[in-house]
This record gives sequence, structure tokens and C-alpha cells, in this order.
Amino acid sequence: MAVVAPLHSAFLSPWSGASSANAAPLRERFSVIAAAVTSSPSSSPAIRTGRDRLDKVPVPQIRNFSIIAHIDHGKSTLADKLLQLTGTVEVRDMKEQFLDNMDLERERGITIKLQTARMRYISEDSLPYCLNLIDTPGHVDFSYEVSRSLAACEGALLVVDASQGVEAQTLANVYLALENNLEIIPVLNKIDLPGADPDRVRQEIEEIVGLDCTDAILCSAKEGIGIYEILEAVVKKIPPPKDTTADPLRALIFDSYYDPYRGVIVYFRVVDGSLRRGESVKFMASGKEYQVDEIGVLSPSQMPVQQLYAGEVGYLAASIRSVADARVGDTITSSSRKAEKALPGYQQATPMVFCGLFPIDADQFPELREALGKLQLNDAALRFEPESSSAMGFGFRCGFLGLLHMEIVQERLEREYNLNLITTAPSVVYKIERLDGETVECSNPSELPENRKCISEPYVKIDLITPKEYIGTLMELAQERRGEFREMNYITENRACVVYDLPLAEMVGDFFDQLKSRSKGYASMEYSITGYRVSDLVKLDIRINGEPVEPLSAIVHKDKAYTIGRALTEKLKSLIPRQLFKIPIQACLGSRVIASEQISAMRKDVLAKCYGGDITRKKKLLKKQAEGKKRMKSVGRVEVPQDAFMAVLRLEKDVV
Amino acid sequence: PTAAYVHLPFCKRRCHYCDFPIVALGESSSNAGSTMESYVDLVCQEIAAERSPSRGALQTVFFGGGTPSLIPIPLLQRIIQALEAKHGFSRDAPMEISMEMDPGTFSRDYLTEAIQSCGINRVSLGVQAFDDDLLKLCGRSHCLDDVFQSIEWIKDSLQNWSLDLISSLPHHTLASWRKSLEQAIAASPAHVSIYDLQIEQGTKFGNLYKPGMDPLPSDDDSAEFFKLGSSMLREAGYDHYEISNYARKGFQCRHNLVYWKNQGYYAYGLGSTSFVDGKRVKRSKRMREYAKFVEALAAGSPVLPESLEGSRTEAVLPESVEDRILDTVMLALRLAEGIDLRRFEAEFGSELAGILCDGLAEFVASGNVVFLDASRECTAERAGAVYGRLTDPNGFLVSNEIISRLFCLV
Repeated sequence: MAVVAPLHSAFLSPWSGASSANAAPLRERFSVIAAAVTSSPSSSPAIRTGRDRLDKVPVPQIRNFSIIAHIDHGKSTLADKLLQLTGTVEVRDMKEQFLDNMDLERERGITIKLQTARMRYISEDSLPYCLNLIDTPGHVDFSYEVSRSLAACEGALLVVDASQGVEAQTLANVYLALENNLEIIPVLNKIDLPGADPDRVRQEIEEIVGLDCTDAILCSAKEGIGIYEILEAVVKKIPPPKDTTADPLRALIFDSYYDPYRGVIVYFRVVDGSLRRGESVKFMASGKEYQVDEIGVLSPSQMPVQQLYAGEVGYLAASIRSVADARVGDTITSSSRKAEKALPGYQQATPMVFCGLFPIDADQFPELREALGKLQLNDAALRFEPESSSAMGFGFRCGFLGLLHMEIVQERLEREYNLNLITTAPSVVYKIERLDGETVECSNPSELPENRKCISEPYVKIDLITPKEYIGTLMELAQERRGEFREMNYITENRACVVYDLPLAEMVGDFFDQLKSRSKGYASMEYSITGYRVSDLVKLDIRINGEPVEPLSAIVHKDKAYTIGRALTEKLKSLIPRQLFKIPIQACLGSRVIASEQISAMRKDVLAKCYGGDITRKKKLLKKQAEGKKRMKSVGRVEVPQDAFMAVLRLEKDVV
Repeated sequence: PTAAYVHLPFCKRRCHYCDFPIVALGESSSNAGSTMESYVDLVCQEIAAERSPSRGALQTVFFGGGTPSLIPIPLLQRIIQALEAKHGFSRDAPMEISMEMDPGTFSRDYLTEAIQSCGINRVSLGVQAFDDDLLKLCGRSHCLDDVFQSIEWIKDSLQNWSLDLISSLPHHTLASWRKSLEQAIAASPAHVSIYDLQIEQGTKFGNLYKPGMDPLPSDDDSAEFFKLGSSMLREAGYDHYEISNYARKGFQCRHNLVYWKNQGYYAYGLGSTSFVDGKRVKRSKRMREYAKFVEALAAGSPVLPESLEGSRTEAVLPESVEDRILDTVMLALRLAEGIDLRRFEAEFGSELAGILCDGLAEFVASGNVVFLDASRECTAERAGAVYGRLTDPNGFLVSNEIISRLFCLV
């Protein structure tokens, strides 16, 4: 077997340098490694170990794991410490939180694009281990991606802030990990903080997750406490991958991104078989075939190797044109020796939230199109198609996995592509049963079919975890958002989990912000789509001077239409400047006006004095006024400032 | 040019709404005389140094301020003499020599002297309000008695005089404004100027008040004031010939018409702007820099930005066609006469004239604009239209809106 020979030679390749540290007692060894973290002498055993991390180890010495943690519970800091202790990253190359490398991620403290790191670690048993830390995205919009990352692992560290306790997000991911049969190692982080209460949190984890916490590791990633114990636990508790090197290749894609020079870079875990550079591979879901130009491991930067075997984690580049060809969850197999069945769990990306994106400056339309195209190369979940309206001009209707995904795309368009955008209020995908019995989907309120019998909307099950003093206010919030109470459980004496059924549309607005502000930041949430339900929904139109303004149309619940209509018309009244004629502003359900305001005609706009030297000054003023007019959008005869649209759309996001 | 403006910046104190270039002397300044004398020296020097070739004698002179009536007669005489020596005074048409005068700053004798020895034949009297409380609030240095006294003296010696009022002052109500108008009409001036109060940044009013907010009248009230002025003065026999100006037949201010018809004019003195050979030169508002400018001029430097460095004088190079179009539209529409469409077409071409007509036509239905034929009769037909004008009062009231809209088009 040609495959086996190099494998063994790799196993036999001598590793050296760590052997002296290897024999030393635990405490002493720990101090040596800790010294390496802080002072980084280049000859330190840990660092030398780190340099050997490309060396092959037998499959039983591979460990693949990820870290499950709530935002701010210290995932990134812990990951950084693991990299340092194993000499994977030297201190002088260390930026704060190495694993979160996008500006946006740093700012929000969340992970969007994944990082992965292969580490080499010499355990107490003196054997070299290959540890692959596989990152997970930290947001519910990306729960599918999280599930694929977890599917690439055999175990996970459950990191919980010892002063905060379990949060909804963590819980959701723990359940995903349990579904994937992962070995979970509980880690209580931030034990150095004065508010830390490891016993309470231990009890909390046991009660909610049903996980034995007697061996939970006490840790302070910041202070470097417990890191060594974590590495030992990974080696001892997490099972090694199955050695299925002889089988046909099956590799699970858990992340991919577009590189303008090399095409899509695919991150994968080899589940069965092996993959060699130059080989031709097939992506089983997309059906696309490519020849692999480069394979390698991530440690954490890309390091090319010749071949990867079952159990190993790595990347490949094959001049792939778009991430849609190699989507997360897809299975890579060999073109010459195809696997019979793809790995389970692949799902198509389904956008849940839609909105219109329009350039403020109409000249930027081609740039917007190009930017969206580029983002799509890297984001298989992003959808867009052209949309135009008289008020906004030309733009795109875009579909996203969720609100965060939407915000990220908007921010990237604005920051990385320097576009100024107006976004319409987000809309979910409604299902409309027409009078002729046919059901159609609609995600754009202005395109809601007329001959409708009823409208259904997507519902979510939402889990709120909150200290008990905020239960009342959060139940109020859920009630305001048409939530239906399901159940409530006390996790501990002081914290409860409240479950509601809620229309997704009620959540895409400011629900999360409200949750945070009403609970002073203490509550957390998690949701999952549960299905569609018929609701009493109506289409609310806004008319300015009799002209419907389509981008401002919204689908709302009948009971709320009046309040929303009034809020929107009032806002518009305050923002549209007076013009030479009076302007009615109406909120309508069909032809019925439910709220109306009127902007009275402009009475006076005159510069009284004008002579001599004044001429240039007055001309400047009038020119400025003319410039302002040029920037207005016209709705029929009415000139509406861009700001007015933006403010109303903002308001709509909040109230609808 | 046949018109000359002379800026005389001295005032007793700064009025609370004023952001003009002025020099406040204080109530009892001992060296006010010498300050004014050296300033007049500078102005005369500037006049003498004027190098734009005179084309025809002056027909109008306007002394504006500041408070020109604070300038001693001998100094005023010197300026008149300098102007006449440089440019000559027209003999074909009667000269119009206007002077702004403030109640309480001059005596009957001063007025007589100004008329007889300086040739002043038109007075623009800064009454501003017929109410002692309001005058005080505005920081005016005179009281209502001074107003009546001045009016009496002026009427004794001149027919061609203007009464200047400010509308939309703090606490103005429709009733109090009506009363002011009645008093103005009772004084029977040949000309009335009504300036709607503008709140300028950096003035005391600018710090105290927000436009349209109490105690200032609302925009709607201001509009009513404007309409009331327009209708009452029309009934009293005044022609509303410019947005802010009213005159009995034959008493329009010829000097100011030069500005509105976008014709050239000389200007002398602190902060003034001249428009000679298509070039606008704006002098510094600071005395020291203005002095430098005059010095450079007297030394023979050309009036160009680079040669006037340090004098903070802005010289605008000959205006572009675009600027001339905007100037024409902006200024002509201030006049009841309106914009002469045939002349506009002759100057800027038929395509642009068509765009302008289309732009104006948008405002016809709403009653803000009318087209007039050659005999100045209203015409619905664009083809026969010779003039386009803003209507009085509805068009005038929203002139900025209309003019800025036209700016977008042309």
C-alpha cells in the first residue's frame, strides 16, 4: 500500500528537544512552559516542540477539538494561551487574540471567519500529540456553520465564565456538540476575578447541561492558570479519530474563504482516507471537480504539506472560483476513487432575512453590484438581485441568514468598499396563500400579491436565560412582540430560562438590543426556526402626497398597524421640509387611510436684504440651497431629503 | 460704471442684529473726530488711486454704513469732491446722491448742510421700529422722539427720502406690525424699505434667539407681516418694485437698481465690494488690512489676489458664464420687473433660456410665478412671454425656494 509507507516514515521521524522537559515532574515542567510564554527564549523546549508541529503522529495521537463559549467568556484569550504554551505562536508574533483576525470581529468580540490551529504537544506520557483546535463562529445566525465545525471534532472545551454562568448561546452550542457525540470538558474561566463563584457555576452546568463537573478545570486564561491541565485533559479525555486511512477519501468542509490570488481556500477535516497535493477532487454536494494545487495545515498560518490523512485537519487551494462551489458542510472526495456516500448534515443556505440596499449616491450603483459580487464569492449564504424604486433609485434586494449576517454585510460594504448605503427595514420570508389556492413566497413587502387568502410567517422558539429580577421585564418584551409563552425553568435559584414562541419578524428589529438594555446586559438569548404559522398580517403603505413610497412599505400585524402608521407619518412630517404646496402623508392599509399628517405649504423663504457686497454672500447661500435640493429624492413632486428616508427606515426597524 | 458706493462704517454702538463691517465709536469718544478723519483720508486715497478707466460720469452715489450721518460735513465734502474729481458727476441725468441717516445722530443744521454743501438729495432714514421698547431691545441708539423729530426735519427739506423698517422683530405681532406700517405711511415718505429680520451668527440676536422661535414671530406670522406690508403700502400708493423695497412713482432708488440689474459699480471703503469690468473685489472688514490694500493700490499694485496679500481682500476674477447666469437669475427675480427673457436668451443662448422658462413654468400653477408679454400683461402662453416674474406677495415670499430650484436647472 503506497499510502502507508510515508505515513510510517513520518511517525518514525525523530523528534527531539523536549525530552529533558519530558521527564521532569509536572510542576517543574509547567514552570518551564510558563516561562516560555512570558520570556520566549528561542531555545525553550516548548518552542522547539512547536517547530516540529508539521511532523506526523499516529492517528491515536491526534485530538480534534473546539471551544464552546459565550461572547466575553474568554474563548479567544484561552485559544491564544494554548497556542503560546505549545510554541505554535511565539510571543513576539502574538497579537492580542490571535484567532479573531477581522477588525469587525475584534470590535464586536465575535468570530465570523474561522481560525484553526494545529499544535504539537508532548503529554505526561512522553508521547507527541497533534492537537487541532477548530474554531466555531460565535453567533446564532451561523448555527449551521457551528454544527459543521463541531462535526469535525471529537471533543470540545465548554468554557464558562465562573462569575457569569451559562448563557443561552453556550447552551445551544453545547446541545449541538452533544448531538455530534462530542466529549465535553467543562472549563471554568476567570477564576481569578473577585466575583468568581466556581461552585455555583459548576452546579449550574450540571443542572442545565447534565454534565458531570467534578473534574471541571479551574482556569484563568488571562493569568495562564489551568492551561496545562486543559492540554492534558484534551489528550486524556477526548477520543482520537478513527483510523480509516484506507477508506476512500471523505473530508468535511467546515469553512472556506475566497482569496483573490489562489481562489477559494477550503478548511476541512479528513474523515476517511487521505488527500495528496495534485490530486483531483470532487465536491459531492456542488458536483464541482478541481485539481488540488496546494494542501497544508493551519498552525495558525498556512503551512503547505504533501499529504493529509484521516483525522488530520488542513486547508486546500484548487483555484476554486466561488465559495458556493465548496460550501461548508460539503464532502470532498477523490475523483479517482469516489466515496459512496457523502458525510451527513449538509444543508443549503436559506436566507431568512431580506432587505433592500440602495446607494445614497446613485453613481455608486455599479460599485455596489461589484462589491456584492465579491462578497458573494466568499459568502455562499448571501443572495442579491436588482431592485429599483422611484424614491431610492437602483439598488439590490439582499437575503441573509439573520440580522447579524445582514449587519456584517452592510458594514463590510461600507467599510471595505467605501459605499454609502440606505437599507430598508428587514423583512422575513412570508408565505402567501392565494385565492386560487397556490402558495407563493414573498420577502419584499412592496411585492406582496394582491389576491391573497392568508399570510403565514416564520416562527422561532426563543430561549432567554436571565437573572430572575429581569424575568418580568423580559416577559413583557416578549409579549409586546407577539410572543407566546411556552415554559420557564429555574436553572439555579437566581437564574431562569424562559421559552417563547415568537414570530421571526418581531425578532429581526431591535429585539436583541432591547433584551440587552432591559436586562442591563445580563440576559442572553438563542433561537431556532420552528416553522410557519398563519397570522393576521396586513401590508402597511406610506403615501407622500398620494404617491406610495414602496421602500417604506411593511408587512405588520393588524393590531400594530395603527401605532406604526402613526409613528411613521409623524416622523416623516418632522423630517420633510415644507414645500410650496401642502403635502399629505398617509399610512394606508390598501385604500384605507389609518394615519395621516399634513405638511403645510411653505410660507416664507426670502432673503430680505440684497445689495452691493451682499450679492456674493446671498449667491453662496442660494447655491448651497440648490445643492441640498440636488441631493433630495423626489417622490412625485415632493422633494424628500435622504435623511428623512434613513430616519424613517431606522424607526421602522425599531417599531415594525 | 456710473454708480459709486462709499462705506462709512462709524456707529455709536453696534445694533443687536447687525453683522456689517462697522466701527463702534462709543457714546462719548474723545478722538472720534480724528479716527473718522484718518478713515476719510484713506477713502479719498482709494478714490484717487482707482485705476479702472472712467467711462462716463457718475449718476448715483450712495453713502452707506455704519451711520454715515456721524461723519462731519467737511469730511463728507472731501469725499464728494474726490469722487467728482475722479469720475465727474453726470450732467445729462440728474445726480442721485443718497445717504443713510440714523435718527438721533444729526441736527437740522447738519441735514441742511449735507443737502446744500454736499449735494445729498436722497435720505434713507433708519427708523427700524415705531416703538421705544423695540428700539431699545434692538440696541438702537435712538428713541421714538428722535424718529419723529428726524422725519419732520427731513420732510421740511426733501421729498426724495426713504423710511427703513425691520419686520419680524422679537415680540412683533400682526397688530403691532400693522401699527408700524400705519405710522410709516402717515410719515408719507417717497420710498419705504422693509427688511425682514435675519438672525446672523455672532450677533447678540444670534446668541439670544432662534429663527421662528419665541419671542421671534413664527415663519407663518412673518409671512403675514410681509403680506400686510405689501397690501397696505400698495393701497397707500407705493409700488412694490423689489422684494424689500416700495416706492411712489419716480422714486425708486436708482443706485440700488444698478445692483439688481447686475450692472457695474465702484465701491470705496472698509468691507465694501465693487463690481467693475465684470470683476468683484471685496475689501477687508478689518481696518488695518483695508489700509494695506489702499496703500498697495496707491503704490500702483494691480488689483489681483497675489498682489494684495496680507490685505485680506478678495478679488474675484472676471465672473464665469455660469456665475453670470446665476447672478442674473437671482437678481432679476428680486424685481417686480422680473427677468427679461429675450435679453437672457440673447446673452446665454436659446437652450438655456428654454430651460429657464420651463423652470419658471413649474411655479405658474401654484401662483408663485407669472409670465408677462411685451406690454407687461399677464400671459398664459409661453411663446409670447417677454418677462417672467415672481408674484407679489406669494412668489416674493418664497423667492429662495424658487431661485435655488432654478439654480439646480441652469
